Amino acid sequence: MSDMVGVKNDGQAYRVLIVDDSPVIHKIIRRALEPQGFVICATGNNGKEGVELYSQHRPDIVTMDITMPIKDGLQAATEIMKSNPDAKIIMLSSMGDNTILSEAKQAGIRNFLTKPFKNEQLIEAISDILKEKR
Amino acid sequence: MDSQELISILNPFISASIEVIQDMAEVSAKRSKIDKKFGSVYSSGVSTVLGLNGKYKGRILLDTTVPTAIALAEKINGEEFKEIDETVLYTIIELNNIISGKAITEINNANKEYEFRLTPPGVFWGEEIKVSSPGWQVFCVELATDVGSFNINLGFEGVEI
Repeated sequence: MSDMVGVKNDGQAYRVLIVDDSPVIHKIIRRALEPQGFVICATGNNGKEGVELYSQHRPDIVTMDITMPIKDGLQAATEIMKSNPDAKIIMLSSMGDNTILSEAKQAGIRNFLTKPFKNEQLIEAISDILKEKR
Repeated sequence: MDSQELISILNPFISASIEVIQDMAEVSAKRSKIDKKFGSVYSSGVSTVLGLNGKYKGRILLDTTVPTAIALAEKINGEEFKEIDETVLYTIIELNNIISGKAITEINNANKEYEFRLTPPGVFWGEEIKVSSPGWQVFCVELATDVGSFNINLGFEGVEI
């Protein structure tokens, strides 16, 4: 059994989909997760791509920005949750005011991490969501 | 807007800038001076602009020199850049997007009536760029960092203090 957070008990890596309109954030998340054994299976630049990539790749975890062009992260996460209520999505955003949080909770989204985040915070948040039972 | 309201908007931008620059780039920053201008400001080299809508209409201009922008991008990405390229610009946009998002969140949570929302950021860079907002009052805060100065400019339409 591996000690790495990104590796399952059967030795397979957890697969992560990153959805964010900033390539810098793609890079920061990749740099935080890959050393822990996670595999980045795909990256999307907006919510529309996020929904499409989710259905193509069926990742174990999604990191989703909120403010994005074409389709925002809350809409995308809501669509993904409708297609798979067990989807594990963590919302990452610098905008975390009460109105946005309340909209997200209404959509059934409960996992948030505020930007900027430290690598350990991201890994801890993902570990927590992986332990959740639905 | 009265001076109390201005402080309640300006201070979160100062603290968010200091915290985010420290967290993302591991560069310490401290406030050095505050200035007030009308209408136009000159870019130091690389500037990100975001529009502000809500109780007051305005714009946020976060501005730095080319060497400072490159130094911040190097710290954040963990790689060297010889000149301004797409990655440096994306990094500066994201840094300023996070600063503005954090500041606006704090302002909105403390004062429900403001209901500020940000427009997507744009970035420009070059020499002798003048940013004009005719008739707007602009409040400028300079932060001194280990890699050069970082300027916060908040401009508001129809506001006089």
